[in-house]
Amino acid sequence: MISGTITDASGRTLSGQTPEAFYISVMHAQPLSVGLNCALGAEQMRPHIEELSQIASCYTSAYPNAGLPNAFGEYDEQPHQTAHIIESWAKEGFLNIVGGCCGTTPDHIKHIAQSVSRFAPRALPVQEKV
Amino acid sequence: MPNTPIVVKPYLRLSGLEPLVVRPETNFINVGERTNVTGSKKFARLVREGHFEEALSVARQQVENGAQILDVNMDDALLNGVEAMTTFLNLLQSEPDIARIPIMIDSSKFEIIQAGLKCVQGKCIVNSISLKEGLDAFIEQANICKSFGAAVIVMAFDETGQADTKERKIEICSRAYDILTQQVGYDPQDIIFDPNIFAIATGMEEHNNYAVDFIEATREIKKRMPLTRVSGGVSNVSFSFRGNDHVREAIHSVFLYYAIQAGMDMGIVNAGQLVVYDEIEPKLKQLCEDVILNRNNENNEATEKLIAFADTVKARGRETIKDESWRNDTVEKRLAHALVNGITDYIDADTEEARLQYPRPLDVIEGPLMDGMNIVGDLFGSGKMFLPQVVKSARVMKKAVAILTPYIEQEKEEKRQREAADGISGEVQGAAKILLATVKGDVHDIGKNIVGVVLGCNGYDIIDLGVMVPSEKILTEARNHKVDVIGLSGLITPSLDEMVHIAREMKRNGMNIPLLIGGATTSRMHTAVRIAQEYDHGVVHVLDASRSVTVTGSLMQPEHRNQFLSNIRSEYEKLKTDFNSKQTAKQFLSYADASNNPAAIPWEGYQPVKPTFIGNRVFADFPLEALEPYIDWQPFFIAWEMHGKFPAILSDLVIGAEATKLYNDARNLLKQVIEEKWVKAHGVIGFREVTKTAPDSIEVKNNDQVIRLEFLRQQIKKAAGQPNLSLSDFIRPGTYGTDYMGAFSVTIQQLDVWVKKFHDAQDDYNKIMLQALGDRLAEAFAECLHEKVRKEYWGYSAAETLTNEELIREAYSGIRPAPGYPACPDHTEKYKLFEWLGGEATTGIHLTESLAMSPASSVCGWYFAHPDSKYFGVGKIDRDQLKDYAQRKNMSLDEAERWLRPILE
Repeated sequence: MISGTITDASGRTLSGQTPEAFYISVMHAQPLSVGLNCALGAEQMRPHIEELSQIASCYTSAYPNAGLPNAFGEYDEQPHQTAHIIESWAKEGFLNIVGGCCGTTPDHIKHIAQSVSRFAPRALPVQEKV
Repeated sequence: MPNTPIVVKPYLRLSGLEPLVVRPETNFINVGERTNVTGSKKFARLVREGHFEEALSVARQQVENGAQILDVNMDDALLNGVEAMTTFLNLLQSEPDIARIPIMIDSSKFEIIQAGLKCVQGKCIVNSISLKEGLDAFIEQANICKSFGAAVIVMAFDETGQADTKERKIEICSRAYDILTQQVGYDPQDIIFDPNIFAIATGMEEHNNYAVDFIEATREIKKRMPLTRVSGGVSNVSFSFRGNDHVREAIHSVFLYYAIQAGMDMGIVNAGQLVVYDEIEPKLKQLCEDVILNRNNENNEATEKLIAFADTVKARGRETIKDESWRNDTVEKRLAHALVNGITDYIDADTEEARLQYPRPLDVIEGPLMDGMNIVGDLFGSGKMFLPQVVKSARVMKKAVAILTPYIEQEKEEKRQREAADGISGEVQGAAKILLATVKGDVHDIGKNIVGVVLGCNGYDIIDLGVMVPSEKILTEARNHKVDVIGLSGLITPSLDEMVHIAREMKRNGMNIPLLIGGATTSRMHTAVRIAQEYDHGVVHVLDASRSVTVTGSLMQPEHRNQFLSNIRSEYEKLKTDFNSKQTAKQFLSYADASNNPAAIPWEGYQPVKPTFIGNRVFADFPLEALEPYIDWQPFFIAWEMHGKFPAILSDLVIGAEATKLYNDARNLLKQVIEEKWVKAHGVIGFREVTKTAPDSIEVKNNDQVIRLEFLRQQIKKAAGQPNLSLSDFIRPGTYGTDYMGAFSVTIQQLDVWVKKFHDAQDDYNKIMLQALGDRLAEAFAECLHEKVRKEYWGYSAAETLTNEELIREAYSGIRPAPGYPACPDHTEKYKLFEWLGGEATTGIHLTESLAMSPASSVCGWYFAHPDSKYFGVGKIDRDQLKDYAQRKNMSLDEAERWLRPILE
């Protein structure tokens, strides 16, 4: 299982790759899943998760932070808020594996689990036959 | 769509910091060659002396010149190759503007390749491995490359030596392919062959066929192993012309022209030094073609001629004469005259003169230039000036503003510094900003460019993002520039969905600026029913460029804006209600009943005419002058928003004079385009034997394969005796035997080079003119080929004699409908059409993800010959046909629905 981190609004990994370039660089390892975690809250992570879900041949995962930290380095995003955003990802079929990274609590995970349980996981892509 | 599995295509996928996906429609890929110590003395010296910073600038220059992959080679006897490769690649990884593109690690020593593989972050290419040292070494090296996830170039080299003939090249590549795919487990798409480009015209007769050998081997390799790619070191081919760059560049262009047609995908070339095939002097081009294709070359005749010609190539100039009496007026009057008449000749000097007379550079814009533009605006508003003239005026204005801008910036900077010194900071309030974009998947932008110019003339600040712009970029740029309005444009039907998507995204992102919708495929109805629902802060359909001014004007005045938007909203609500109530009134037949009511064509005793050939025929570089008589000028005037019949429009009381001027300008530019061969017309036609296997399914015999075409059928309940048409009705039912069908595509290539020249020269008038002419030429080409098909190649109408007007009225027998247009509204059938015609490489047209053809000046379609065949619109279809169609096409229902949405209830 491979998870990368998009560090900021540039939409790049710390070493400068876009999500698609990152995936292409690791796909030969034939991972069980590829995804993103940390650095961003769910709201900022959405376009990148959407992009990965459109290209990855394997399962996809996302572990966002509980939003962005406030001036004191604490996380203000409430469990239902995080869950609400992730629910829309599940609804769109972006994901197979979800969870939380920095700032999330057992209560966040509980809310996330409840809100995604109503949706089917992302269907595994099919390889075009030649 | 949620939970519909995406389909992963077997494409070569590479990456640096950004991805490079080589799709079937991807054009030739330039691999930058200057970071190669064996090929560049400068680079070799820099590396040897340890000046790696400067060596990086060589790499940067390659990227800036358009290299899409960077070849790095450190094979030099005086270098420690492993060390040099490691140092250079590590440094390179920290330069984001270079590391953006994938790396090609180039060495004949595998230890250097291995060192390189350890440094590169993205998915790179190894150049190269081969069977030179035998099977075991080959497999071992391939396994290492695979473990790093690299794509690999295999050179056509084996234990007995390097392949020089077509047969040997194919034999070695096929053997390597089997080993790599079966024993090593390489994905076919990660294999790239280099079938060896050798020098020609060396004086040795046995070398004369080397280019042909490469080209033909490439063709066969791509046929046998279609997922693989072919690459090569292009500059080798012209090695014997060292020191004569002019001839070398011409040889490279001509060689690539043929090699790419044969399937060459990428090549190591100096991206900054490649002459446009079209711009090669015709005689030189002819000589290069003879040498490359080994024609007229007995006793090295062609070679000798090319050498003899090389020195004689020179450029030529042109001259013109003009009326100059207005030059004696005051500078203000001269500027106004230049603006109203669209004359750029003296604008530099006149603007400069005004700048020196007025206290501040901004005063020149706000004074004489705006006065001049106001005259233009008044004349346009009262119908005394027409769009083509306004665009010319805008060109003059842009040039003048460009001269003044540096002075204005300088003044602003001085003011800012003064204020900073005084401790004040202030933002300058600018003009209202309008963002324009042609949406993702669409390449058409004539209309959008016109809107940009017209709004620009009216004092708006235009941010034009160009064509094929994804929604994310539109939203980001809108935010970054704090724009006041977003305007979207599109010409093909899938763009409608993309516009709906963008409206949704604007809502999701909480935007509150109005959205304007325009372009040939858009309509007030679609906007009202589909787009306006998705966004709450104003969605307005704009019919044409002249309306864009009034709409934007209403939106920009705070006192009018709310009233205006609420009027639009209630108007759209009403449209939507009407639309919905009409819906229920529409009556459909079941698809089965509709299929039982086809065109009543008596097939008993009918014998289809057999085309003169079965297969494809390519018309490369078709003579442009032969197309001119086929041009239909009426749509040209419509593009310029001048409505009326041609040629009557030229003598129209109101717009006749301007229409004539526009027409003359167009003819002059066209003459230049034709005489100087600015563009290339490529076309292809093909005929096949076909069998109708179901009411709307036609099987095409394509060599030993079968392409199954699917058509859609009118389903609305008709009056008694009226058929429910489908294009397949014009093909003989299978029970009576087989029939024939044709396909074609034509394109005008290299227009964009000239469009860009005009764009860079801020000459919107000629830019739009040229785009419009390109469209006309493509249509004329389609018309011309269709005539040849009727009279000659298919020959079903050999005795036809029609005037040009009759041609335009389509008074002839047989039709040429295009996938995506009313008679066959499914764009995805274009894939089959292109497959039939030998793929996108045949004419260089490629299909975007929304199935627009790029370049935009392209036309394609099917040929039906039956005398009863005619154009019609399928109209709306019902769910049962959609389901049947999706099944026939092997498409998910969701996907079929997405492509057919415009014709669904």
